[in-house]
Amino acid sequence: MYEEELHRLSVKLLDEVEYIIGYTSGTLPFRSRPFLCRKKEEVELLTFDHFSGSNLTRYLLSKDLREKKVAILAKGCDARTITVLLREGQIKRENVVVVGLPCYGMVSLRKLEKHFGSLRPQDFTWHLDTFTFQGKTQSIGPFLENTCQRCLYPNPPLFDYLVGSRVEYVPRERWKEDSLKRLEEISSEKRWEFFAQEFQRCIRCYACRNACPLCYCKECFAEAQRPYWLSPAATRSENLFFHAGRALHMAGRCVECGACERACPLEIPIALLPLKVEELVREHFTFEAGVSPDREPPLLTYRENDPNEFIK
Amino acid sequence: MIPAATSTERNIYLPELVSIEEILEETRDIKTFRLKRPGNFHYRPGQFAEVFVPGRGEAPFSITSSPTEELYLEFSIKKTGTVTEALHRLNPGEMVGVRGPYGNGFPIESLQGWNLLFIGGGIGLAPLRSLINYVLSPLYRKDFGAVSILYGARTPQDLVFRWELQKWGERTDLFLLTTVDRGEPSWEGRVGLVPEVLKGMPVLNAQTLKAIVCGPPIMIKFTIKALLEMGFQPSNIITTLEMRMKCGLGKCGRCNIGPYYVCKDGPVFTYEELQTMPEEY
Amino acid sequence: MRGLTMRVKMISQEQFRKRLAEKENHLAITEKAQDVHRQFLPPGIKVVKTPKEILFPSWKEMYRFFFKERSWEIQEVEEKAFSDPTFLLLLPCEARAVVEVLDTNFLREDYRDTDYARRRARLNLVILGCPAQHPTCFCHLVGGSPVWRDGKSAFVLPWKEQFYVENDEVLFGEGDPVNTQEKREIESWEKALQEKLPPPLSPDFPEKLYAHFEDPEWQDIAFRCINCGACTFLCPTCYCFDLTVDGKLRGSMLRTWDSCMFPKFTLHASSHNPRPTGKERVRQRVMHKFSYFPIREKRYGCVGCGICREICPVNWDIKEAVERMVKRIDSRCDIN
Repeated sequence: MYEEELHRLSVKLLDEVEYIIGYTSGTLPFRSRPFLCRKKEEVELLTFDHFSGSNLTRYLLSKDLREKKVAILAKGCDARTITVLLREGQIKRENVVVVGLPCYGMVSLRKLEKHFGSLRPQDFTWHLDTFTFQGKTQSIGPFLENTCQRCLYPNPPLFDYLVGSRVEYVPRERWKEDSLKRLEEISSEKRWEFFAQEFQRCIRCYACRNACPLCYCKECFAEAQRPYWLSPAATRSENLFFHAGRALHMAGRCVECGACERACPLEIPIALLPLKVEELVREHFTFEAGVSPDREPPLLTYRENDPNEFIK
Repeated sequence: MIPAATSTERNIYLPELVSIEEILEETRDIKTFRLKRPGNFHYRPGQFAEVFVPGRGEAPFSITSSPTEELYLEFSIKKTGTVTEALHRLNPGEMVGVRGPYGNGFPIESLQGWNLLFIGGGIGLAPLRSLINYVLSPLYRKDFGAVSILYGARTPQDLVFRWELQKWGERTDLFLLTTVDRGEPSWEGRVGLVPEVLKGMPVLNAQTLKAIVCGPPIMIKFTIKALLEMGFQPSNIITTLEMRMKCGLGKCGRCNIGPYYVCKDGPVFTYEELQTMPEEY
Repeated sequence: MRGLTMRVKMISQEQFRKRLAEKENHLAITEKAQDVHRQFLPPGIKVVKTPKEILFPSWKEMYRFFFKERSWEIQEVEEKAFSDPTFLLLLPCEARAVVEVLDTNFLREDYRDTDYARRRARLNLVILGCPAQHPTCFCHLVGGSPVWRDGKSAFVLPWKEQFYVENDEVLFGEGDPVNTQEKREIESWEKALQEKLPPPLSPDFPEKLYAHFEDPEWQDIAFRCINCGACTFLCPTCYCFDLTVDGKLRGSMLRTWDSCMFPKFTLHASSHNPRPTGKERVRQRVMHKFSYFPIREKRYGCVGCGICREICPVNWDIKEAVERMVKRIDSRCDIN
């Protein structure tokens, strides 16, 4: 999508930045991968498609790129991440040129495989919010990642340049179906059963946490010795503690990008807990992470007239 | 088929509980623990053991007492993290677990017949002490040539084994030189960095000497540089390496430098071997 | 290769499915094997991601300790009644991971891991040959093949409308003998398959790669890896583990899976870290599998199953990394 415009812009950008962090096609079918573009000849390799799901902002925190001036391609969720990182003092605004990418949602390879069985790239043609498979054109809605089905920000709220044209609808209102809503509709016993079963499978590889661009703590509470919060054994109770604890630490910070779920090698719907927490933050604090850079994050703010009793 | 584990096979991770007999405060953050020696625990100088603090954790420490001491094991431990802090809070009479010995130890056979130059920095004297006392023991003294010891610490407060240094200083069959990086009014000895003091030592015949160096990485680096300049062969320079360890017996995959496991192929290496290893430590 | 004393037989697809369904409670199958042979399998067989789940579980108590009457005691963990599967259906690459890598590490004569030995002795591997390679597979690169077997475990290959079976006494029951004509056909099919595969890495690749430790290419290779560790947890050959104490006055020494991708893996108590950035850790992973382990044990630490390539969220590709280093080394063999 929008590749020509992207290439033209990138050539110009390389005059003012050292690198462009973007996407390129992967080494396996249906994969897109992060790409560090350094020279004008490499600009042709930049792509953006329905599998460019990785949140590139984590590369802004890497030792090599932190102090350099870089351009970064950002979908709505990625741009929100940049705002949060700026707010938390992790990156400098003058070092980052944000190239906004309006996004119709990322397709989940797992959902595709589940539906179509073994996949061949040549059988698919991709359009903005539809795709054609063996002559039949259908909507991407049912095949989007869980976080993309609930997306409220298809257009980046922060950018220096915008490539392509704005998405005219809000995915959450368009797709209406999503896994979190389904969970909210069932009884709490069934919900508990569902989570208990899923987190029984978790092997505590921490891929979800490590893939999250906002989990940059040098020592995670899960690995702390003093105090010793939880055991590394991958039992149901310890796993639940870890995931619930992480979701709460992300409260008011999670930008709902889905990097955690994408990274989970066991296909556990990891994002459901942080997504629900963000809904609660919206409800109780009318606050969304990474959207209004001037608003103070409610859970990182102390005020003397805080209505909660326990804080006094 | 794979032979099944028999009931007589030991669980290789199981420590043996022994009591702490004595604790000596060496410096503000280093203590020497004298533990009752576990039964059937035969080791060579330079080997280490995993010390288990129940309820806290386990960590590897080089055994600082010579194997010629039949009744006890000594470890000199600096307070740096969770396990060492817990150890520092223990008292004589309390119990800890020990499993081992692990590691390759010093190459005793290749040292026999040679003059030996021991160079230690800070707590690096701990593993050296095991070999020094082995070499100086009545049983083995005749197997080795002349012994020289150069030991340095940052300040007089940081010298370890002060009582041992005094005992060694009183012997007539070795040469001992102690130095500090920064002196104090009450300090009457040498002041200078170990590599510098080394260069100024009376003429050392590099052809008949094997040097054994142990200390902080930066000290080892400059000391080895000085030794090479003085004509020492890389195979005659011996040192110990440190890496984060867990199992201590070559299974958990953590302590490798290149294809070498520090817990199995080391921690003692010659400089010649070090030259073939990637600089990742 | 094939001795006259090896027991071979042909069984029907019906018998294959029926016997597996009967022994369901004692069986497990790896996910990859299930994907490849789904059409032949009865439903309901327990699926594991890798053989590690049975042989080397993600967490295990090595021993227990407790404080009683003013002193500490250490106790072995009593063995619970055995409930793990006794047969594991897996692909040749995964079997190779067990036989050549995990067994080498845990059953080494100095310090045999008794827990692993116990589990390994109980587990019968049933190797299901692959009819072809998949896009993520690269077993040929490390000297494997879609029909590799160790000569001791049972081996099963879908052949025409039946199954060709080697070395099985207990699982599939009686079968038909394999006549000379069929034997020859199978052999020539295997030979043709082998010949079609691209050549493996050159025998001196581990040493040559070792010499390239400081190659600046590693910086580039390491760029997109986010050090999430998913690859190491699902890799059938990765065996790094951590030992941590769980509990204060009463607890156990836990062995849990660990990963060289984590920054804390080599963090010293003094805060020094010999592998401070992603570049060192990515280099360590590739070098361990393709250089250090082969130099020590004369076999690769990677079996080319491609599971890591499939699950990597940023499509970091170990085959690509190896190919880039091959180019740097300018080896003489062709890489597909």
